[in-house]
Amino acid sequence: MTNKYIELFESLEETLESLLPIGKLRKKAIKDFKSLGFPNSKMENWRNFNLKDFSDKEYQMDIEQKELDLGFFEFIPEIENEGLFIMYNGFSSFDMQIEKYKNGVIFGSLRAAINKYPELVKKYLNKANKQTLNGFNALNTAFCADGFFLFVPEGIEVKMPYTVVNYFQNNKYDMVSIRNIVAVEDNSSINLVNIEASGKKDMQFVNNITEVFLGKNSKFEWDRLQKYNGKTIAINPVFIDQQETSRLNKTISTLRGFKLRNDIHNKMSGEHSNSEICGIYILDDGDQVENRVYLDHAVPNCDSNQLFKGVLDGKSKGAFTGYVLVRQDSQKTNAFQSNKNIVISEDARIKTNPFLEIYADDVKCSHGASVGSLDENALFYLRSRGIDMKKARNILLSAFALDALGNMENKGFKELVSSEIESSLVKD
Amino acid sequence: MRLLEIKDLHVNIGDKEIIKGLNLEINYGEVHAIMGPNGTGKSTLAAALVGKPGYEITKGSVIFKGKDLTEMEPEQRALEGVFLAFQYPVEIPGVSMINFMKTIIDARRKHLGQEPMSPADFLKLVKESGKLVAISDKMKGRAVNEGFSGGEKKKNEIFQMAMLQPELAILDELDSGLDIDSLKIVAEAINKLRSKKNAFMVITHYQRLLDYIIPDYVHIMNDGRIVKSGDKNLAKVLEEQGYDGVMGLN
Repeated sequence: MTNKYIELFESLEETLESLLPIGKLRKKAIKDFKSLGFPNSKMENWRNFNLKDFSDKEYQMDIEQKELDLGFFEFIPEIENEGLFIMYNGFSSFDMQIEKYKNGVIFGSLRAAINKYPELVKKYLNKANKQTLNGFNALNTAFCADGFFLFVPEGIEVKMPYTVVNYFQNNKYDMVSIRNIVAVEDNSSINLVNIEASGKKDMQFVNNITEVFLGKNSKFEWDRLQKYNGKTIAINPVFIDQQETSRLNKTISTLRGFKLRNDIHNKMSGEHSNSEICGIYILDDGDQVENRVYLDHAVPNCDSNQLFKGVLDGKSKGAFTGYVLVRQDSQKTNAFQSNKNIVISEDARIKTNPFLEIYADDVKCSHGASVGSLDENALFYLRSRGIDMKKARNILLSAFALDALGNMENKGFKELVSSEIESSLVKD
Repeated sequence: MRLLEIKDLHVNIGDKEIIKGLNLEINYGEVHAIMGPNGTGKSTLAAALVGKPGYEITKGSVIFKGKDLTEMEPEQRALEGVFLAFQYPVEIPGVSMINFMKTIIDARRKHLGQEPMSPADFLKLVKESGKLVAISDKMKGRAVNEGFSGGEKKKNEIFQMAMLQPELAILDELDSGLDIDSLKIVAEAINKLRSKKNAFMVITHYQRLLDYIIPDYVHIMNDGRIVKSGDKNLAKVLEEQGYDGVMGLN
């Protein structure tokens, strides 16, 4: 099967290079892919992810940019933005655009960025992605053609959020490879809102890598909302590198996902850094969603905290893996992790796997996981006040899930995500 | 029309019969105290009246304002005007007091065919009701019962009762977990809420509460039945002679 993708690459290489010239990186990536191949379910890290729908099919790449379906605009929520960038089927929607804002922020298409600011892009591109981790990561570099680029120069405190909307409405068996870069330079802060959604029922494959570089004393709030309807296989690896006293505040809310995987690789490279990663997943029917966090405490004196909450109904399968590595010299590390789930139907499943690997001795680390059902006493308490069963259930499930958004600072988007979660929990 | 009419009520929890043929009538404007030793079915009676799952009425009838209560879901009973102040109020993390209050008030008003309350009127009602039981604004800003002390939880029950203005309020062991000062505040609030349009069923193990909420009738329960009824003086006799003494009189 690997060969088919290598053939596809050979036929497209020139075109891909003309779209996004990255030269040697691409060649090396296909080589890596050749030797790695696709992961399989015998591999520990891919056990929970059913690759069959991917490996059985032959995906193609559609590099002809389609007209934007105007109906899709209804989907873009009214939220406050300073910058809005829309991607459709993996490409910038309105020609290619990159804009330099008054405050110095550069934001827009990676394709446009690599033409206009080649040195800046090259400083970051593929510096955090470990394409040798697995074949998907290599495949992404080999086939990437566009993505978003967000650059915040030194010493800028950006007040208003920047938003990226990714909408997928591909043809059957289309493969989309997206590459994104976020670079927040020293002493700067910004909030990025990421909305991803797919509309069509046809099976498509999205491979969407984001590399994030947080400079000294920077702050990055990244709020991601995923709404994948239809048969979209989506793999979303994220690589985050944090320099001294940087702060990461990441939320990821998944409302449905046919086959979805979020791999968050977070490396603490500078001391006194802080990472908060919180997630919600609301699953139903045959959804399969897996969140994996790899937290590398490479230096001392850093704090990390993860809270993931899930509500699983239907025949859905969820998985959470939290891997925390505290290296030998990383004293005074505080690392906490929690994964809580409410499983509604008997056919739904959740696997929760905490892994702590600690080599330093002066650390505070903890993990906790729970799988339960709805609190019957709480349900009755609400009903005894005149709230009907459906609403009482909705109130309790929403409150349970939304707890994970406690640290979200973008109030407008928080409200939007909250109401999306509330309505996704409504059952007839 | 009577407010509540319980006839030959039998209630099971699982296979075990707890209430074994109980009769009780409550009219508007009355306060009935239900007393009795531990494990005689007082709290089971309360739970069965509000329809707690797991409490099965096997025989008998409960007619509330002429309607059969046993056929209704718990939420319908609440909307009809039955309220239970829980012995152990439940913590609901993540649900703010204000949102909760707004939801229950809206539900009740909708049931009564009234328009939803304006935010101004709602806040006024919250303020007035909160004042009755000395609920602080800080408590109103928190999640329902979360991290509340035992006393605060009980005050919160009466706060909700004041907001909802039920016709029948069942107070299950209101005095447990309350210090004497809080007990006085809560009792005073209840006395203010007493009217010709409502009635109270006060379940208590101790006579102490009845010094502050003076009942019109006192019933003593034993082994799932009311074994003795009388006026407020029965509680006094009970205080002097104990349950054994009073029930021995029967």
